[in-house]
Amino acid sequence: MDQHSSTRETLARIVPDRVLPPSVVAVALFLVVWQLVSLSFDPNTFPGLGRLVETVVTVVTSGGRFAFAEHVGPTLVRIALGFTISMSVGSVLGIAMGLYEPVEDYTTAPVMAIMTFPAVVWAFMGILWFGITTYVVHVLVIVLVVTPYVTVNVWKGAESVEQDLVEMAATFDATRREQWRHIHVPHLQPFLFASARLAFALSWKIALVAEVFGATEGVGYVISYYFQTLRADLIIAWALPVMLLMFGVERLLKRLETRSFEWRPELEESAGRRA
Amino acid sequence: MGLRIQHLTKTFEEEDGDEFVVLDDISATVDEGSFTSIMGPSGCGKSTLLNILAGLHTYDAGEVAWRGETVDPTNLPIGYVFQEPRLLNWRSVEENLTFAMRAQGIPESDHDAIVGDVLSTVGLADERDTYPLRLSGGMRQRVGIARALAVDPEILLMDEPFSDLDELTARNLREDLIDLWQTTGKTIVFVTHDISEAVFLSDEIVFLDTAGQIFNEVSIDVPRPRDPDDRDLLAIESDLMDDFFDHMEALEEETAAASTGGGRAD
Repeated sequence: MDQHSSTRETLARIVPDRVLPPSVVAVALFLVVWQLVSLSFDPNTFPGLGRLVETVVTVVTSGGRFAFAEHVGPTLVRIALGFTISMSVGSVLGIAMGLYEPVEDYTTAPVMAIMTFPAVVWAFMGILWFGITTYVVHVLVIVLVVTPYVTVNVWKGAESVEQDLVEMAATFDATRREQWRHIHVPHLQPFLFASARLAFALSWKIALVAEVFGATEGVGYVISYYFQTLRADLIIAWALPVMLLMFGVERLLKRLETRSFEWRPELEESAGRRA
Repeated sequence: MGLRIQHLTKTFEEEDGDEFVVLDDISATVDEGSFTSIMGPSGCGKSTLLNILAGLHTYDAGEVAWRGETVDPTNLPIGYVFQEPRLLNWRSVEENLTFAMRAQGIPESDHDAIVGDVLSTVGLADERDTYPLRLSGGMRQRVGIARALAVDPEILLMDEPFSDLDELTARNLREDLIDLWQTTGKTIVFVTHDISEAVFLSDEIVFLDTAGQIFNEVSIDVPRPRDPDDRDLLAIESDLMDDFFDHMEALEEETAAASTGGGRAD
């Protein structure tokens, strides 16, 4: 305990929390290191910060070879479709597995088997099976990779419903519908939210992978083009806006999640510690 | 009249196929408006008996009657208080009560008044909008009691409701329970393993043994209000404990004799 607090004190003197939060310091340090490293590289391979900002602006305003909206659009649609289908199928399947033993018995092996295939393998097979498509292969790859994770998460949630509460509801003659609404669904909420955040984080990365291997438009396709023309700077410039957008969505999901758990005192306490 | 249990038998089938008799031909009467405790060691079937009355378990033989008429226990006008509060942590105190009332078909227009009423009775009038996890254990248990009261049952079934609480909180709640009982005149069937709790609270105590049979029924005639540390109560407790231990010894000798006689390897 003593060592811990003296380190904290020292740090607090160097970096007073209120003036400079730790995360800002870390990012600033990272940017400094980036700039230093970029000095030893060709700007096309490892751009300095100034050049990078310029390039991002060019990309976003469609000043370069590829129109921004023309490629980001399809990517976003693929992510949205893949995410929605994965969450729907995964949740339904997960709930069925958690509540009904026969379902669990028959579907555990296939779900696990699908889960062990790397995204790249699905992407390749999808292209060989369906050819170059606008949406089918990409959405399929996302669904195949992401659904098992959602399924397993929701399955564990559905399995863990407290029988005590179900029994309590039975003493009051609550109908199945009332039990679902007031016990099962609220119980599943944290698992659904956790699954959604995971599913979203996976979906957009898988979308890019699928696009690199089998698309004629999309952010992944553009990145693949610039890979072949050895333009690391443009790869970063295209990836950054997408990453920022996805980060924004993930934060939104997190905020929705926190709001729906205001009844849990523990979350508030840990937030207080960090603040 | 009141609540009559006649020749109730309940057998559980164990995993290895063996049959285990939990309740063996139980007959008892609970007078309407009385406070009756069911006492016994762990595994004697007292919770099972309560669960049968609550309509949670089926039974193999016997019948249950309320006010002179045979009934299916699922139709008994009961409210159940568990050992754990069993509240919906994601709903406020008020919503926990309305959940029960809605399930029982109590009209929504009455909800507001009933919530105010029962929460005052258990001393939680200010906690309508509070979430359960912000309440202490004793307070959560009170909410559980309020919930059972909210559906206005004629019979209150309570399964060791205070055994998870510390003694101070439990004593407070016991007194509140007696006040509540005397005000509402409900019939209370109270399961406990704690003899002093049973003696303090009850008009009648029914004793179950591990063979699933009633071996003793006692009326506690000490006038109310009772003091938990009262000499007379302690004397009664002591006598009842002696009776209980004597009976358990006799039971063990019987089982031992039966097994040596039958040559059963256990």
